[in-house]
Amino acid sequence: MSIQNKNSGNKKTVKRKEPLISIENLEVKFINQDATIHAVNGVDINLDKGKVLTILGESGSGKSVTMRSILRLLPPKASLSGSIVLDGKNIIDMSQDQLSSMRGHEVSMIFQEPMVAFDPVYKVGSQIAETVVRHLGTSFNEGLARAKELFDLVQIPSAKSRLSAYPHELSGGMRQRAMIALALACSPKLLLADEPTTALDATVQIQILLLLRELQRELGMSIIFVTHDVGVATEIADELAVMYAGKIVEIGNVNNVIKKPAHPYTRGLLSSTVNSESKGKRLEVIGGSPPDMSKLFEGCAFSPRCNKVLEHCWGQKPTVKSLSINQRASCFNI
Amino acid sequence: MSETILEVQKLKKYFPIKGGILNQTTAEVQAVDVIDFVVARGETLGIVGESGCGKSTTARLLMQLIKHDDGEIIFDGYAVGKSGGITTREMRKRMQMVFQDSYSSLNPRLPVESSIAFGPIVHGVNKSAAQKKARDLLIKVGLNPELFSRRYPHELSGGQRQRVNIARALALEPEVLILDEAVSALDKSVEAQVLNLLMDLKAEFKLTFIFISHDLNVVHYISDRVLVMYLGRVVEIGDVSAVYNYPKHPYTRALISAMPSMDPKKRTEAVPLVGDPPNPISPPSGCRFRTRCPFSEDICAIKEPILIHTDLKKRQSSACHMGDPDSGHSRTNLNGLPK
Ligand SMILES: Nc1ncnc2c1ncn2[C@@H]1O[C@H](COP(=O)(O)OP(=O)(O)O)[C@@H](O)[C@H]1O
Ligand SMILES: Nc1ncnc2c1ncn2[C@@H]1O[C@H](COP(=O)(O)OP(=O)(O)O)[C@@H](O)[C@H]1O
Ligand SMILES: [Mg+2]
Ligand SMILES: [Mg+2]
Repeated sequence: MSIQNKNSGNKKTVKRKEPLISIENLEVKFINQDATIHAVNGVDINLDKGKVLTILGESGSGKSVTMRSILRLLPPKASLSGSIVLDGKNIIDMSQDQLSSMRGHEVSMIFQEPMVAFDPVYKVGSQIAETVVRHLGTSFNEGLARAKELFDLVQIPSAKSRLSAYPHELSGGMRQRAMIALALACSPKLLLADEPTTALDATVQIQILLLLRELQRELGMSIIFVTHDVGVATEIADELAVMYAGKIVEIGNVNNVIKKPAHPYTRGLLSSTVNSESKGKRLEVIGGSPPDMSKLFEGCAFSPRCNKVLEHCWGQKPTVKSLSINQRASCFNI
Repeated sequence: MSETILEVQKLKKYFPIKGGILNQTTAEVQAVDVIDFVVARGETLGIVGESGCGKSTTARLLMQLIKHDDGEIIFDGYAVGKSGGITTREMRKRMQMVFQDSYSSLNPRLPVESSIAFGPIVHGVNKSAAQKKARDLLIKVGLNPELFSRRYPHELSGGQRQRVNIARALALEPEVLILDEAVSALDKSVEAQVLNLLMDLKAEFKLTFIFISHDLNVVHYISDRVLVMYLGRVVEIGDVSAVYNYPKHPYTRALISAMPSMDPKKRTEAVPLVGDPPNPISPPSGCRFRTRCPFSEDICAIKEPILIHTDLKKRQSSACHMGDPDSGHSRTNLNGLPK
């Protein structure tokens, strides 16, 4: 989503920049024999160059599937529709060759579990070098030199000796840094980060978040960062999107969404999240259970749990309403 | 009835690591390395610390699911497993545990009502009374028995399964409930529901909680006192407001500063602690935290700090040489540390 700079002098002359990535009406279904899972149900995202968009949502809300759609890393049984345009090219129409030259080059991804990104039987340094050789056509030695540069960039101490370590020989935090180095090997325009700090201890998590923030600023790349943790989202996001049942229900500048949540789900999620002010008070909870993704909802999927539900919420889909140029939500109550 | 329901003295557990062709012990994991604490009747003691610091091992030792190498567990004034004390079986009737993994702690082939009734039946309650008890407990944990009593674990959501686990743990009418990461795997909206439920149950049944979690916000919310562990040792213990607002041990400070901000205008600016926790197979000599501590001096490698009170009312203790004027550390005033 693009938010115009409030401070720019003459509004009329401000031309809307082309976003780096523009996703329109993305829908992803998994068709199984017994049921169809409606994982993503109409996601729209516009992200500018050099911005961090965080997608916040509970498990099963469709965050990972959205990310994997961008890289077209979904299994064959997945049916995907809508458009994903990166720098003018529609990813949905790309051939396998075009996809493999895009992955790890223009767009790369980091995960919760770094062992997914690395092959356990090769040294981390040579795996990074191989990636550089494959995408940039350098020699292996140039690739290794780049790997050393990247290890310094992600602040791995004694970089040189760590390059010849096998993935399992690194500590949790170092492995996460090495995976970030691998993802940055070819200077991607867009980094997809799928809960990269979720499995880490608190003191290591904050190190990785601060590192990502610093790298993003230095390299000027864009990041889509997925998390279920409000605190993590708050630390990293420029813009925050809240996802429920495969839809973005609210999106806006992180400060607005956290301080003045508009959608009843966003409000409920924030009031359910224990923070330093919660002590001594009963938590205000969202009733009920997360939605069954094998059912396609006619109206708003949050209706069964919503404390503001209206008659027509059950049968009609709410449209996107702007609260300000910095915040939008899909809810009939707004 | 004593005020102290549980007392742990010099509790120790090392896990042997076997290797080589003869499968001999090649090293030991110092999972819990001599810890002491007491739990008062009716309170909630939180236990925090990073993964691998020994929280679950402590819980499993308390329940005697694993045997300690050394030390003593005293339940309501009686030494557990000692002559003249209390048997493990008697203690387990009065102290129960809820685990993080809601799935593997229930028998997949039993309907949930039978899982809940199982404990009382084993302890001699007749079948129909135990089943009635199970249905009553389902109501207490917010599950309608008409809908849920015949269901199997796989037919429940994670939050519902955890409610069943809580009901199962309460079936023997225990006085103490150990909750080991019991809400950690749940989504935030469900976690909040279960936390409210736990607070209600605690008040209704006058329970004592030992609440283990890596989530500092949740521990702050639910606990009266908190115990901070680092590599198998207790580094700080005290009233939750004192420990969170005036942490004395540098590790506690770092842990609290590492909590993500909930305000986008007040983000964390500096990394509170570098590196990962060291390996508990060969922990550092002296103070185990010294390899990551910004205030480490020679003395920290030589002498092991012990827990000492850091306030006159004895509501907070920390194990750091900076808290002991006679330790030989050049800094003595913990309160004067740069943030
Ligand atoms: N390969 C798959 N086959 C079938 N269903 C899937 C697959 N991947 C994800 N799903 C389902 O899609 C929904 C969204 O999943 P996901 O995007 O992984 O959620 P999260 O927000 O936790 O990342 C869930 O209901 C999940 O079970
Ligand atoms: N059965 C076991 N055998 C060997 N090592 C173990 C065993 N159980 C736990 N450990 C080790 O003991 C240490 C403490 O583990 P644990 O008590 O589970 O920590 P926590 O619950 O704080 O994450 C860890 O290094 C862990 O790997
Ligand atoms: Mg996911
Ligand atoms: Mg544990």
